[in-house]
Amino acid sequence: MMNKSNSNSKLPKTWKLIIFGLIGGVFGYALSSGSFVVPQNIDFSLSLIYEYDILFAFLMLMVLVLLVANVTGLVRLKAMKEPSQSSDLPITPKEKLFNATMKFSNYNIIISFITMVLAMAYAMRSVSVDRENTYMLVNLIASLVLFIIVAVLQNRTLAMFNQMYPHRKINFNASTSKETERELFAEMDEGEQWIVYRSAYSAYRTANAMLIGGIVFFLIYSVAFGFTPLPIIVLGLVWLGQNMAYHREVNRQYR
Amino acid sequence: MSKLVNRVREFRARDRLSQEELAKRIGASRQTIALIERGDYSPSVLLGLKIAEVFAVRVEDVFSIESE
Repeated sequence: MMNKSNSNSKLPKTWKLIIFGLIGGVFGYALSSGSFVVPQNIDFSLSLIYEYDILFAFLMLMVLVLLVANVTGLVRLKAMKEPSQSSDLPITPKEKLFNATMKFSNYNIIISFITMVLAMAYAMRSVSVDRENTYMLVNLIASLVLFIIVAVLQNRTLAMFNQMYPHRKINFNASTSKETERELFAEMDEGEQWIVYRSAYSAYRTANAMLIGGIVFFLIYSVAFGFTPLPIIVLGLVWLGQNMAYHREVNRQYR
Repeated sequence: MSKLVNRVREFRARDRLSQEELAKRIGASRQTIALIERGDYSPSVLLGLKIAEVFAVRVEDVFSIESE
């Protein structure tokens, strides 16, 4: 039985490797032979009137959409009644809505933070054109205001969590966010901790795959537009750091 | 391959207990009870014993191993 399943799984794996090898060979040849020519006028500045205006507009639109979703979620949660005690659903409609609202809030913190950092980096760049000063200032202020609104909304969302789960309260008075996380995790029961472990492992695997994807992307970018080592080094260091954290925890548990 | 099966839902119905009430009695969350009942999560020995204690039965009456 065991041998049968082994031989069954071996064949597709070999084929997969051969197919990956063939794809790699074709792409490698295409990139190194010079047949892949990048157009001279290609432009990544995503601009319409000002430099990078499409990029900033897109990011801020995403922040606004998520902001509306977050506010709508909070309003609906406030109006929703508590589920009955006899409800045997794995997750109640109110909990489902809260999870979605929390998700929107988390994504929005990340996107609004990236927008703010990009606006800051754009404002602090060494080359600046006078006519772009107003645009740069508006960008900077708008991204900062949006980030503050999103952060306040996240605070409201976490307050809602405390209302819904009084026995799992998030301590806003803890000295560090690490302490808050530790306290929250310690308060969870074994089933909830198991869900966190599973989610964290899935996030770890996804991050690993995405980091490799990012490195490959910048490798292709280097081939097409010239040697770009910094993003590859940064992504490599993040990858290394993530794996070091994983192994440190494994070693700590086996000590 | 064997898996853990349980009769938590059945005993809960017998004792007219909601998931919330059972969870409170054993110091767990309602979500954990739902996970156990669906067979998605195998509880620790401690939690298994606590559940059996609430239903006043042996732990083997609530949890058993089933071969696949």
